[in-house]
Amino acid sequence: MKVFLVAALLLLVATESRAACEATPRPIENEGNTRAGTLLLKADGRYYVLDSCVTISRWQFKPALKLGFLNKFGDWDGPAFFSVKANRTFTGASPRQFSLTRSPGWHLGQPLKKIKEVPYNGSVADWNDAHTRERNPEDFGVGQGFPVPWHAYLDAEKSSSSTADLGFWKVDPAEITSITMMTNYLIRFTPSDSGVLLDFDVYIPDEVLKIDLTIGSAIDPMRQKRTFVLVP
Amino acid sequence: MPAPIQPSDTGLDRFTKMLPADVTAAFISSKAALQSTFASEVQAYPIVITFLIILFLALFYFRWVTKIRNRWHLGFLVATSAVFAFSLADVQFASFLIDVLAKIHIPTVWINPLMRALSAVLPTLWTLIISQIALSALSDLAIDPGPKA
Repeated sequence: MKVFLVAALLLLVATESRAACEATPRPIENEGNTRAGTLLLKADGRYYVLDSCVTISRWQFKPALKLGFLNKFGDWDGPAFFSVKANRTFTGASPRQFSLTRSPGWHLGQPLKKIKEVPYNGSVADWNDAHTRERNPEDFGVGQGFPVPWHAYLDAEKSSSSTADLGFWKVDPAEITSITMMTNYLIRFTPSDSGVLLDFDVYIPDEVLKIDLTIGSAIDPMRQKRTFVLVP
Repeated sequence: MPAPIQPSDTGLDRFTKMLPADVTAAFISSKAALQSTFASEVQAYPIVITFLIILFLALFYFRWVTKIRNRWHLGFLVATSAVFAFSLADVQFASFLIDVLAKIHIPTVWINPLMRALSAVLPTLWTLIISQIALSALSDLAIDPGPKA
């Protein structure tokens, strides 16, 4: 009887300890029929919806998670953007602590080209300090650890900028360690009801164990957090 | 169209009578209606539950409407209905399974690849091979016993 009770207790503890992320991405048949603001994962011509925490099979989705939103934001005026912080936890030392990615279409005195996974040269303190003091995209330069201009305006008229919500970019120093790398994305788009996927890639090499994703935007349904646990 | 198999039926007649076209049509119509009603994120439960209801009703439909009394024939028709429905709604079945199994803490990583492979292979195997085997092995067993005296 005692053995049975202990076994039941151990089973309960084991079950509860791994309860959080059992779900995998759930396939859908018709992505056009999803709600605006649903975060989608695309792989092999099929779309998937994601719970707040999911287990991702690396061999099924490698080399990168193609994530995004369908453009169903026709009610929104003018150009818009969403920002992403993807904090990847590695098995060992990460190549760097921060990297920077930006879609095309941004402006900073002139149209800016897209950039992809450019290393940020500063420390966590530098990153947070810059995102506390500076206000305009022009202020984020080499002195703050940015090797290239990254923060920018949505258009030549400077209608809005990626620094509009500086609080989004500040990070908890405890979350940035020697085994994490946070890739920061700026994705600009023109709102419409085209249904085109506004996507960004999060690479999942074998060394990545977990991804914590935070998405910010002035468009409410886009704001969300997700956790991905990677398995072989 | 399912109907009782008679000793005089040809092989083609028997094959036709082992395919549940009407139940499959009912599932296709229901699925289309549910897809136009629910967003893609929440279609899985309504479609799978409707499938289970149709499968349950199919037993009575085959027994009382098409007058099939032979249990082999009934069983094969129900199994074929399930296979056809699965091939038509594999995405919703996968989504449903992932959600249900995750809730009871069973790992679900294997579901997507398995369901994708099954949906590609099972209907073909069932129609071209398993049905043919069943037709050869069971068609004499599946002959309608006729009305009870």
